[in-house]
Parts: sequence; structure tokens; C-alpha cells
Amino acid sequence: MSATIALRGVRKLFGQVRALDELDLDLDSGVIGLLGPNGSGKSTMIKLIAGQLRPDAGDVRLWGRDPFKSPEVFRDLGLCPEQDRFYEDMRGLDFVTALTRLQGFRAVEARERATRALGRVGMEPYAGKRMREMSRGMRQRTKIAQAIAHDPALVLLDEPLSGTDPVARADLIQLIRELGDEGRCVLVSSHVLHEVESMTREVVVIRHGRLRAQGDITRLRGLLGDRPYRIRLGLTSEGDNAEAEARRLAAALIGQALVEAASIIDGAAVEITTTDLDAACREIPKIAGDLDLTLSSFTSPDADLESLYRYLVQR
Amino acid sequence: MNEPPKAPPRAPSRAGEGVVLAWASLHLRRNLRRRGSLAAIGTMLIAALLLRFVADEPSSASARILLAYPAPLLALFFTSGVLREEVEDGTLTYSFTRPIRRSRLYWARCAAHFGPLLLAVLPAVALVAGSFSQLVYFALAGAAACLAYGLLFALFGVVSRGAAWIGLAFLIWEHSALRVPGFIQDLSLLTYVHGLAGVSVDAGLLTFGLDMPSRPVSLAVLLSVAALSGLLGGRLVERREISLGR
Repeated sequence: MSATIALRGVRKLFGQVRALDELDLDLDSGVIGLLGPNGSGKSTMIKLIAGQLRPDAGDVRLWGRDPFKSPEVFRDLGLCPEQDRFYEDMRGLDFVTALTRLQGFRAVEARERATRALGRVGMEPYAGKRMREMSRGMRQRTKIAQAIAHDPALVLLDEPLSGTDPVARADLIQLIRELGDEGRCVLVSSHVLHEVESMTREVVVIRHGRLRAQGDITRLRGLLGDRPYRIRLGLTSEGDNAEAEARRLAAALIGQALVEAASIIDGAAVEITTTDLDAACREIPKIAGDLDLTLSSFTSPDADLESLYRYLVQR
Repeated sequence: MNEPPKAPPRAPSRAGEGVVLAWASLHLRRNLRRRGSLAAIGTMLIAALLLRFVADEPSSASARILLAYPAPLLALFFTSGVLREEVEDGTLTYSFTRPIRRSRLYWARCAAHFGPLLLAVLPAVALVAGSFSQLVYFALAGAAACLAYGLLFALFGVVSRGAAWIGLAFLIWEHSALRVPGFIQDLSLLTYVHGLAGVSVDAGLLTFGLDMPSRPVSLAVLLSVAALSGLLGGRLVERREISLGR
């Protein structure tokens, strides 16, 4: 079952501040990273989708329904809010059970589901702890458990990894990927780019409340033809020979139409800039082969999410 | 947007009354464990004991004091923050993203806050009763007062962040209205609380001009105020965007 989020011309004002402005967006299944600098409107967007805020203009629809007016859509929605707030006197299992009960389940089933969800986030051994006794990471995982205990088709996770230790973070990233693989729509807001990149290739980038980009990271980078890619080429040879070979390769590449610039990096690698990544991927190994050189690596520092993100939010 | 939904949600869940009652019960238990609740219950009991055995006040005078001063103040204390405290705690998000109408969650929260309020007021007014019939009427008046004031102050809490101040101003108005001859006295809820309890209104020299309303009229007015406040509060919670912090 696929979830559908549709935003049409959404505007949200807080006084004079435009948190979101003319936002149009369609999201379906899979893990989608929601990126943007602080104050870009990520949390506002999640609150609008979760029916906690009403747009000042435009429409927010979940499966064609307005979440603010149609509480039935929450049967299929799980929200992990950003703020670290709980009923502090409650135990983890009781907290998740009580919220799962609100989904309409009987007490016994709610408890079973809560236990399973806590197990899924690695919190089963600590389920009897009171919320106020838990570490930030435990609280974060409990918050995720309450969002998934009712098996929703749409999961909204607002900064889900904040406060978690590296091991828990790796486990949660794996869990988020599994949730996406199960066919759910998982919208993850984060400003930690490498974490988003380890969860998904699909991103939505917003800045100043406006949509800057949406889609696969590599495809998005490809669409941004007005800025060249850097490609770093490593060679197998070592020592003085490596620098000589790097110079030979650079000289050969600089004469190619697709290469705009070439330079030697650390005396053993060549970095070129090109606007045609596909042609570069085809041609450069051939040119290296013609020179009897063997490439040990072929990487593009500009094809990663951080580079894309920096470019989009600074543009 | 006219395009059809790509994947309709599963059959809408109609969370039953049991789920809402469980939510109310959960918050009732949490409220009863709070120090403020225990202090209020204890203070009211001590006040009632003092009025009955130390001050040796007549039953009607004691009931009048308890119903006119601490009961409305406790209603203000317990119910003006029915939703506000969850907004300030940042926990409202959890319940407001469930397949239950917000008005039902609001009423569940109100019910949870009535628990300690009734536990504070009812034993106290029962303690000062001089006869069984007085006990029944005092308890009925106490419960109706808690309901009317409680839901009214909860409504203030939905409308404004300054509900406590609005409530205090309202209580000052209540006592002032009693001291103005004529129909103004009829605009005070206290008139009907006293009418239901069957005790005279302490309006000083102007008491002579006050016709006490009958018990059925008093009960009807108090229940109407409670029902209207509850319905309006529920409707506002449904329609208004509750600021959950940014």
C-alpha cells in the first residue's frame, strides 16, 4: 500500500515570517529525505502534513483528504515529532501502549504491538524504565516506537537520529531503510546529510519555505548542468613515477573538449572538471588505457549529497 | 485538487468510547498522583473540618463559604489548563495525531481534570452537611458547580493563554454581581449554586432584594452553562489550530 502526500500552493505564515511559500509537492512510497537549513520550513511542513497546522493558503492532502479535518487519516500515519517531550512519569512500554490504544486497538493488542515496536527499535530491555530516567537516545527510540507501533503506511520522522549514539544511529538507519523497503512512505527530516544519504537517494530540498529540488540525488546533480562536476582520478603507480604518470594523464585530458580544467592533487591523482559526467565516465578510462595507465579510483566529490545540498541552498 | 487519491487509507477507524475512556482514565490517574491535587483535596478537607468543628458555623453558612470561594477557585486551578498544559509540555502532538476527533480528546482531558476537583469539593461539602437531605443537595450543588465552572474555565483555556487571569476576573465579577440588586444577580452562576444547595446568598445588606431561584431552575442553568461551554470548547478545539510550539 503506497501513501500519498500532496501539497498544492501551500503557504504558511507565522506573523510576518513566511515559513512555507507556494510549496507544491507529491510524495509516494519509499524513504524520502527532507533537507534544508535551520528555519527553512522542514518542521512546519511536517506539522502541516500531520494535521497539526493549517495552511494559510493552498491544500495539504493525505490520500486526497485534509489531515486537519479528517482524523481517520491518522490510522495510517505515524509521527515522530522533533521535540524531546513525553509524559515523563510513564514507563516506556506504558507510553507506547497508551498511544497505540488511541489508534483504536484493544488493550491487549496495543500492548503486544507496543512491545514489538520497542523491540524493533532496540528498546525492549529498557521498556520498564520511566521516561524521565531514560537517556536522550532511549527517549528518541521510544518516540520512534510510538510512531510505528500501529503499522502505518506513512511515517513522518522529524530529526529522528538526534541524540542517539553511533550504534543506535546505525540500527535506526537500518530500521528506516526497512520501513521504506516494506512499501511505506517514510519522510525523514534531517540536517545531517551523510545520515540521510545512508538512508535514501530520494531527497526533497527546501529553503526559505520554497521547494529547491526533489528527486534522486544523482539525477538532481545531473540536472544542474550550469555547474561543472569535479572528478578525481587515482592511479595505481606510486612514488615519483606516480606524479609523472599523473602529469601525463592530465596533459592528455586537458586537450579533450569535455574537460574544462585539470590539476594534479597530492602529486599522485588528477582532478578534472567537466559539465558532461556521462561522457567523462565513457571517455576517461579509454584515454587512460591509450596511455597504458591504470586507474585505481574514479570518484566525483560533487555527486554526493553534501555537495548537492550546499549548491542548492547557497544558489 | 481534483485528482483522485492514489491509495486510499484503510477503513477509517472509529475508535470506540472505550479508547477515549481509557485515555481519560490514564490522565485521571496521573492527575490524582500530582502533589497539587493531593494538596487541594487535603486543604479542602481541613477547611471543612475547621468550619464544622472549630468555627462551629451553621451547616448552610459553611456550605455557602465552601461553594462560593474555594470550589470555583479550585475549578479554575484544575481546568483552565486542560489543553494548555499539554501544549506547554509539548505532548499534545501525540494524541492529536490519532484517529480520534479532537473534541473527544478534549472532553476526555476535561473528565480527567474533574476527578481531583470533585474529590476535593464533594467530601468537603458533605462534611459540613447537618442532615441527609443537606448532604444530597450540597453534593449536587458541588458537582454542578464543578461541572459548570470547570467547563467554562476549560473553554477560557482553549480561547486564551491568559485563562487563569480571565477566570479570576470572572470570579470577581461573580461576587460583585451578587451585591448588585435586580436582574444582575441572576447573571451570576453563584446565585444558582446557592439556589441548588438551598443556602442563602451572602450579599450583605442587599440580601433582602434577592429572590433565590428554585432548585430545578438552578440545576437547569448550571447544566446548560456546562453543556454549552463543553460543546463550544470541543468545537473550538476541532476548528482552531492549537499552537504546538515551533
